[in-house]
Amino acid sequence: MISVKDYHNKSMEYTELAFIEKMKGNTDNASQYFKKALENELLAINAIESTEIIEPTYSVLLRSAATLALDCEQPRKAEQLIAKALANNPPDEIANELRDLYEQTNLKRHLKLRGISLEEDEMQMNLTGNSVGFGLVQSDEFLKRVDNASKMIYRIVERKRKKPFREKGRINKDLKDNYEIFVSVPRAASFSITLKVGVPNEQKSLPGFEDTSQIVDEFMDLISLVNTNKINELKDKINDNAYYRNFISLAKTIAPDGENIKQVGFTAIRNGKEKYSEITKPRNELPTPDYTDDKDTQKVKIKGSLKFADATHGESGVIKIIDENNKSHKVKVPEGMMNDIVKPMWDSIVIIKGIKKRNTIELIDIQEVK
Amino acid sequence: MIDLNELSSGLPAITPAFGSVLAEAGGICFESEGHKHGDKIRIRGDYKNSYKLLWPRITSQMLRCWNDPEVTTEHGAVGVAVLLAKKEIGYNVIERSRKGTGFDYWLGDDEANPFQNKARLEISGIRNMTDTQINTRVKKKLIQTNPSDGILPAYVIIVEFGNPLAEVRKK
Repeated sequence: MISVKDYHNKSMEYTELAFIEKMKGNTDNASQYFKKALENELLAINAIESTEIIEPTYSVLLRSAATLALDCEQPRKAEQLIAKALANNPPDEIANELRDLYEQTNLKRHLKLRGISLEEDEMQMNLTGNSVGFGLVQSDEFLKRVDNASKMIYRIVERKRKKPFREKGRINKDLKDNYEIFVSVPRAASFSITLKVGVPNEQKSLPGFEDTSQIVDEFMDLISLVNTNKINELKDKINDNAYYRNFISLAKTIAPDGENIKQVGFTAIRNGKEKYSEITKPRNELPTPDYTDDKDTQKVKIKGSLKFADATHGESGVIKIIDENNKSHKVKVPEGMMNDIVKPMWDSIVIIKGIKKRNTIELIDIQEVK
Repeated sequence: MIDLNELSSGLPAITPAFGSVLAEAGGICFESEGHKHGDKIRIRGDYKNSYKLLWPRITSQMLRCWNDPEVTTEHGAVGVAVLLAKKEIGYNVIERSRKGTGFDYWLGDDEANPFQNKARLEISGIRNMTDTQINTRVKKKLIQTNPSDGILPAYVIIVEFGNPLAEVRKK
C-alpha cells in the first residue's frame, strides 16, 4: 500500500522538476509537472483522511496542495483546500500561513472579468488592498496609477514608432489622437476599470501605426517581466536606455505599497481566454535601473525638498535637493526620468538614491514621501 | 568546509537534480559578491564557527538562466542553509512542502508520517547588507515565527552573501 509519505514525496519530486523547468523558461513542461505534483499531494491527503488525521501533517499537506493548486491556476481548488485545513485544528503558525495563502487566492480571483467583455484594445485594471473597498478606492491611490499606467502606454507607442525619447513637452498630437486612452466607469470587483487604447470608433488604424492590441500586449508582457525581475528580457524588449529607465521608474509608481494597495492587476482577452499580468511586489522589490553592486561606487540616500528642476542641460537635467539641514545637493537626472518621474514631484519632500561622483550625485531612484 | 557541490548528490528531501540547481544559485550569489573558492563564511548567532566555501564552476549559460536576482538569492540561501543545518544543528533536511515562492523545509529523523516531531528550518537570503540590517532581518524573522512557540520548534538561518556570513538561531 502506498503511504501518505510516498505520495507526498512523489509530489515534491514533481514540484522540484516544475521549478527546474520554469527556470529554464519551459512553462508548458512546468505546468504539467505542477499538475502531477498536485495530483499526488491530493492522494497523500486522501490517504491520511482514510486513516488518522494528525497535525501538523494534515494542515501542512493541505497548505502545500493549496499552493500547488495556485501554481496550476486553480484558485477555487486552493480555496477549498485552505478552508478544509482551517476547519480542522492546525497549529497557530500554519493557520496564519493558510490565511495569508487565502489572501493570495483572492488576489487571483479579483483579476477575473466576471462577465465583463473586453475588446482587443482594452484591458481591465484592478486594484486590491486595504484602501480598496467593494467598488470604492482612495482617490489618490487610483488616480496616480491610472495616470502613470497611461504614461507607460504612451511611451510604448512612442518607442514602437521609433521616436527618440521625449525628455520634455507633450506627446505628438497625431500619436495621441490614434492612441488616446479612455477610462470606463469603475465597477465593483474590489476596484476595476477598463482602459481602452485608441479611438472608440470603427476607424481602422492608419498605415504605419501599430495595432492598438499589440500595444496592450506589450504593456502586459512588460509588466509581467518587471514583476518577476526579468531584467535581461526587459532590456532585450525595450532596447533603449532612456525608455528602459522610464518604464521601470513608472512601474514603481504604480506598484503596490503592500498595505493600502496589495496588487495592481491587468486582464485582457486573447483568443477567447483571459490573460493576466500583475504587479504584486512593492516598489522597493522591483529592479532599480542603473543600480550597481560595485562596492567601489559611493551610494548615497538623501531626504529633502525637491526645489529645482532643470531640463535644459542637453540630454539630462539637473535637480537640487535641500535636506533637513538646509544643505543643497546637486543631482543629475539620467535620460528617461525627468519628464514623467521627477517633474510631478516638484516642491515635494522626496527620498533620492544615487551614486556620488565628485560634486554631483547621479540619480538612480526617487520616491515622494507622503 | 561548506561544499555546495555536495548538494548534487541529493539529501533526503532534495533530489540530486534540484540540489545541483541550489548549488548553482549559491555559487552565482558568492561570485557576484566577488568571492573566490576557499573564502570563508562566518557563522554567528546561537552557533559560532567558520567554514571554507566551495561551489560548482559558474558558466555564462548559468548566469543567463538565473536572471532574477531575488530567486537566485532565495535558492542560493537554501543551498547554504541545508548544508549548514547538517553541520551545525546536526540534522538533515528530511521533509519539505510547497510554500510561498519555494519550499518549506523540515529537520529531524525519518518517521512514518511526514512533519511529525520535526523542527522547521526558516531560511532567508540576502545579497549584501550591513550588520544592522542583518540584525533587523533576524528580529523580523524571529517575530514572524512567534506564534509557533512551544508548538512547532524552528531554526532560523539567514545567509548573507556579501561578507559572507550566516546567522543561525534556535527558536
